[in-house]
Amino acid sequence: MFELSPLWPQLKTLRWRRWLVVAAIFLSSLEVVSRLAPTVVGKHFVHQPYLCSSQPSAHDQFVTSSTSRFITNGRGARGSIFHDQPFRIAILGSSTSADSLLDQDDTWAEVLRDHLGKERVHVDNYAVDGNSNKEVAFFLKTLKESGPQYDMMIFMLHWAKLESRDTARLAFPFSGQWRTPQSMFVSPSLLKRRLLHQIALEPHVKKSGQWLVARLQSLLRPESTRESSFIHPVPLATSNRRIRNSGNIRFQDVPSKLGSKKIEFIKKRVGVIVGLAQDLCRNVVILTQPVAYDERELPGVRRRWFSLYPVSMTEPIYKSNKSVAERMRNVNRLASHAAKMSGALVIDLDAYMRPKLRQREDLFIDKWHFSNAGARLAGVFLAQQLSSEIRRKR
Amino acid sequence: MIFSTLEFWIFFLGVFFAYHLLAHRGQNVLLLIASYVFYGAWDWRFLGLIFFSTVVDYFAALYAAPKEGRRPRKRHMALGLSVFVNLGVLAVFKYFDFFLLSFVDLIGADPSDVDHLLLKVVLPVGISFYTFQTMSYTLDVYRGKLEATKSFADLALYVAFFPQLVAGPIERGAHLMPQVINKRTLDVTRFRSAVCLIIWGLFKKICIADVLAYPVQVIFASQDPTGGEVYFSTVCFAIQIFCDFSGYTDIARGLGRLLGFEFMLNFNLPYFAKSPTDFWRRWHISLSSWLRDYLYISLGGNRKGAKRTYFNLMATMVLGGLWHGAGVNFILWGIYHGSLLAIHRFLTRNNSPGPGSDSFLMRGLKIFGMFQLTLFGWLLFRVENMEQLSKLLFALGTHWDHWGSVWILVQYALPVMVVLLAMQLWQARSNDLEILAHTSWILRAVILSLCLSCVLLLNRGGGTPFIYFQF
Repeated sequence: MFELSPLWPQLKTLRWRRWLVVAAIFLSSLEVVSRLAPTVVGKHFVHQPYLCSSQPSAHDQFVTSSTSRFITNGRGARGSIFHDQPFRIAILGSSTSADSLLDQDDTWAEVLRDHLGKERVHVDNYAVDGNSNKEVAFFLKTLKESGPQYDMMIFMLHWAKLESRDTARLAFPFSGQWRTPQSMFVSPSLLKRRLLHQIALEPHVKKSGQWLVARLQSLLRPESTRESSFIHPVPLATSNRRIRNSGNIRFQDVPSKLGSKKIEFIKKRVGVIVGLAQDLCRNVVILTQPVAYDERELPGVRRRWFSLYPVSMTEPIYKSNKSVAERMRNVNRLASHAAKMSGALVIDLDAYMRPKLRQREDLFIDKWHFSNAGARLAGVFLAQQLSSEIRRKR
Repeated sequence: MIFSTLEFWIFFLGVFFAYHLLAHRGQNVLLLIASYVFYGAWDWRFLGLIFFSTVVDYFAALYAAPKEGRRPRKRHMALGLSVFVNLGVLAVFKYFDFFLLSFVDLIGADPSDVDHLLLKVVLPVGISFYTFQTMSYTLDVYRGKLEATKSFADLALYVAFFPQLVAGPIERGAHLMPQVINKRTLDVTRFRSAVCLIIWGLFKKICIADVLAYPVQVIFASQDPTGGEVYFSTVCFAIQIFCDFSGYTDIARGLGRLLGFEFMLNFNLPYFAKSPTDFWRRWHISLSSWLRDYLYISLGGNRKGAKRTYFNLMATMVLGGLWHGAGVNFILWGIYHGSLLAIHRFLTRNNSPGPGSDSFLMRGLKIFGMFQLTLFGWLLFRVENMEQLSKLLFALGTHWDHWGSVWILVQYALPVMVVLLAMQLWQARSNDLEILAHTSWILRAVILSLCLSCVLLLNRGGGTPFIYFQF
């Protein structure tokens, strides 16, 4: 039954010193590719790791991710190929601008383009799932170096975590961190991202990986296992509902007031982004981030299962919806003020969407991301706000 | 399970280590189980189909084998049964709906009238490949090139062997069965060459084919492309399909080699072909030689006069086109290549190569010309329907007043094309397709390390299916 293959004894004859040299060459290659790739590989390749398909998919769309169908053009943006339209708009932000859970035609960026006129306006949507506003700032620097010219830039900045966002789960969230590494070697972190990304995309590996991690966690921290498996995005994970209903999670109101350091941070970050954008084009528009916390839900209303916070293991107490909503609106207020002071046009999308929440419940998929209906409403509203602005400034 | 996924490599490493600890019979059993697990991971329901095909050919081959005292009629019937069942399975799963709808379209009836007759079945992955491979076994036994095996497990492994199950190379019974039956060995040299094949194959798939898929998809789906965009995206598709398919083949051959098997060559620098005949000796060799040996020669080949030869060429290529898929575009692609072969045969019927015909310039011109002819074939191959074809042809014929996004596409696609061209020139110049395995260890280490780094870091993930899986 068993018989040792002749391959194994032959391995003894290998020259191990040579293999050490080979290992050194391989590690150097990893580092070289990590550093060179952003400059030699097409931008969309780096920015949009979710798109790829060798085969034409249904409905005449040519790119599908796990959740939606979309088109990216040669600049790495979601959007059609540029055909000499006289007015060009760039949109930057995170998943709330990418609308990565919707099909391309349903995103607010496409609705905006349709309402402004496809023949006159071209829209490049550079927003990427999980982008922090730090990465947006880095992206602006890249655009300055090599990107096309735009007549208007629209930002919906993400402030879910003020200091930084854990983008390790994205293979190539943006090359910014990649190109300016904190450590001497960039390949380990990139390789880790790639691996996590690959695991996330492969259901069998993911399942067994999660099982292994859960077992490991239960060995290390037996009491925290159940809470730490509460994962984002909330409505997509059915396990969250079960965990919420289990009563193992305590939701708590926490102070929503921002400290002086955070206020300074937001002002500074908005100032930098608006400043960088103004170097590239004259029309800079900042949108406030709509947060879909029903007003009726705020004080003393029963908490629902889709509370967002926290998503990390280090925060054992889950903040209530009320806390999150109030905090986000404080941030929006502050960011709007800072943007106005820097000379940007501010459109309060949150203020527009908030009353609608009382009228209908289908505007958001979760508490942050638009549904088809929400994206349509936002796109039409923005087109109304911007059409006169575009006419005036052209 | 796709070769470019983590899942597959975890699976393969498990199989590899277990395999090299087992004796020959144990190895075969392990590979058979692994192959059924591999195929079942796509869709376990189709395991029954592959098992059914194996059972039929097991018995058909036993009765089709030449044996003293066995009546030829009995052998013919056994062979006929194998061909009927295999082509029948293919016809039901792949072609029935297409031919029914085409017939309805031809007589001008309403397609909704036959809706209840349509099977609407999902196409089993790799059905065309393993059907042809199974038929090849019975045909080889019938022709006396191979003895019919008594071991059902050996035949089941031959039919379902996972490295080449879903996209070839389409192995011949006479070539693969002896490797299944006899003891196999693996030494360090073959191990090294297998690793070279796998890494280069992965690089071609992930870093070239998947990258070029993007401009192809953009332009082919575009509503109003320019002529330049259509031309350039067709060039990209030519490179994409080559890297996708030959990448798969390289990985399959490498995996087979790690398990002690040697698969046949499937690609031999096809875009360096100087004529249509030369192209088909270099492109998808396992299919073209299958069609030549079992179809073209069976039809009479070139032994029955010029007219019959042209007819045979055309019939073989049309069926070859249809093998790829049930679609008008594949038939057109077959007709196009059949015509090229017939025209080339007609033009060169009495010619012997003149002086200077093999000069560097002439060879370059011939290669360039043949590549341009191939491009039109790929345009036919890639389109999804006739409306798209007419739109692209219209753009190609008339829309040259501006270049559109060609320059952006060139900037995007050129870096990966240059890498491929450099490697192919090196292979051609050294007349060695496995030059990577035969070059100095330091150069090999550098090239493979760079390729592997690109594969690990630039893979967009998700395991993009290989194009030929759909066939």
